[in-house]
Amino acid sequence: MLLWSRTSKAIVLAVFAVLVAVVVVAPLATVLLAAVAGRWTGALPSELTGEHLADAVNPDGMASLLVSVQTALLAGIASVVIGTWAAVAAHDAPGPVRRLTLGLCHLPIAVPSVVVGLGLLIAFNRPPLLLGGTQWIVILAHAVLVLAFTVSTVTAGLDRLDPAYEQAARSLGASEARVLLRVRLPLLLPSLAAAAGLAVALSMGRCPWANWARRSWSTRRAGGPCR
Amino acid sequence: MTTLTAPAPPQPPAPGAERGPLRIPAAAWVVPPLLLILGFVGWPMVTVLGESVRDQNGALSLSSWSTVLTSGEFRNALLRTAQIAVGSTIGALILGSFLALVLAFVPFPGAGLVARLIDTVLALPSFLITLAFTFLYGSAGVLQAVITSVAGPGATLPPILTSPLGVILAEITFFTPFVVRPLLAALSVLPREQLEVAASLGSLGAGPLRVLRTVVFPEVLPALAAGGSLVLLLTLNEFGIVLFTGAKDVTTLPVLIYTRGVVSLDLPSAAVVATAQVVLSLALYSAYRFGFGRLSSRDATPEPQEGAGNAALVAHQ
Repeated sequence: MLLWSRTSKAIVLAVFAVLVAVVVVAPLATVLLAAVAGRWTGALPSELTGEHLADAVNPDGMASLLVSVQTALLAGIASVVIGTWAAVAAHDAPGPVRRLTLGLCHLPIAVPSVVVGLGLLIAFNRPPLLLGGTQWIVILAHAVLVLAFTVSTVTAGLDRLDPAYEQAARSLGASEARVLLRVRLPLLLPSLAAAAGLAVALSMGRCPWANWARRSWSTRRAGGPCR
Repeated sequence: MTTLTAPAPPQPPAPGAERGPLRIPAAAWVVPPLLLILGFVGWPMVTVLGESVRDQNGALSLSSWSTVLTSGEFRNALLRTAQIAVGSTIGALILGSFLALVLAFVPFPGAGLVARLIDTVLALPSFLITLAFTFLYGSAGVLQAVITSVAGPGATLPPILTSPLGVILAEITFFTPFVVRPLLAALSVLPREQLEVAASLGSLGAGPLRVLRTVVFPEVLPALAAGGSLVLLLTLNEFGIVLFTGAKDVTTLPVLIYTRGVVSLDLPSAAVVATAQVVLSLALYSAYRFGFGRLSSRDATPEPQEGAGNAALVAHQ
């Protein structure tokens, strides 16, 4: 629309193609190629193999995968439950309360994940709640870090919800609990599913930094390996 | 699961709408999740602050603060963080605007696929992008192999990847989609009349740059600002990319927190740096939320800019 001459359009598209190739396609292709590369010493992998992918499903790989999946599922469930509650309650609350609640829910991504991890490490390695060295502190860290995304997803779903359904239910005399359980949550199911999927995916892919929170004080002071 | 989430949602507080004796005001339902968030997010932050005002024996003292704040290491990390964040944000804004404008205004076959690919980058963990970068541009990477095969074994790649510039380039690559996405959304709802004005300006001889500057740019400014400030916030906090480029001399604040707190176990000074970083991030974050709350309250539609920002936030990671 903005470019009429054929040459200018071609030039712009050529620049665009080069940029997309360097910025988007090259990194994505590298990740995919590296997964199946047997030897990669030249410009391109000299042989391709499925070995690495097979390695990922051997007993050792499976064991660590299982731990990741468990962590991600528990963290995902916790963040979806709390996030949905927070989003629904904030949606019904008056303006200032809503803004405060949503603001606080987004806090964990507004501050660096390193600080969140350090905070959890310090706060839960001392009484009253001693979680250092357990799987629970990892799950907690993941749940905290993905909470903002579940809240955003459910809030977006609530904003798109047609209020006519719940108004109709109320006008027919349904109690608030019934409206929530039989009307609003079922209508929100797509958002809840999206939030759950996002939470589990993020927890598995994005939060490796949270894992060092598991190191307990004692093992770390003794010079235990840090990841 | 759904039964657990059942905060029987409250009725709008209409006078006379009381039906049962146990009517709980709407705002009260936010209390349980807020308590959890305060306990598991707020409390750790407070302990970090508390840790920063203790000396090695546990007595109250501000010595860590004065030591850290006057240390050159902290000042350098602060400057380095700002430099990398601002550089990456400017780069992502320029590159993202170009990509979004081409996708929106210069139609070509496969544009949809390219937009989808750009979204895919958003879905990848940031350290994976950085690993791809080291594969491609590292000292033993693809580009080095190409140079060696073309120019002989003596030719080496300058060590850009492990310099601040390399970190900035990696962050631009990773964060550009955060600009493209809200910008594409804003361009797609550009009012019809604006496009017609733009087209007639074009046919009257105004160059495309002028049309962009006078017609398109003012319309998409909120989306640009939303994407840009989100990128600024995220680059300020970015840890994975800096760590994974293996740039040993590039110490940003999150890296400093990590090395102090986890590698050398100097908790008080890690806590000081963490507190400083949190203050910085929260200042930016409240400017982001407050600024876009203001912008959007002028519009009739509910919070479109925040929506754009949140869409990018949701897509983040």
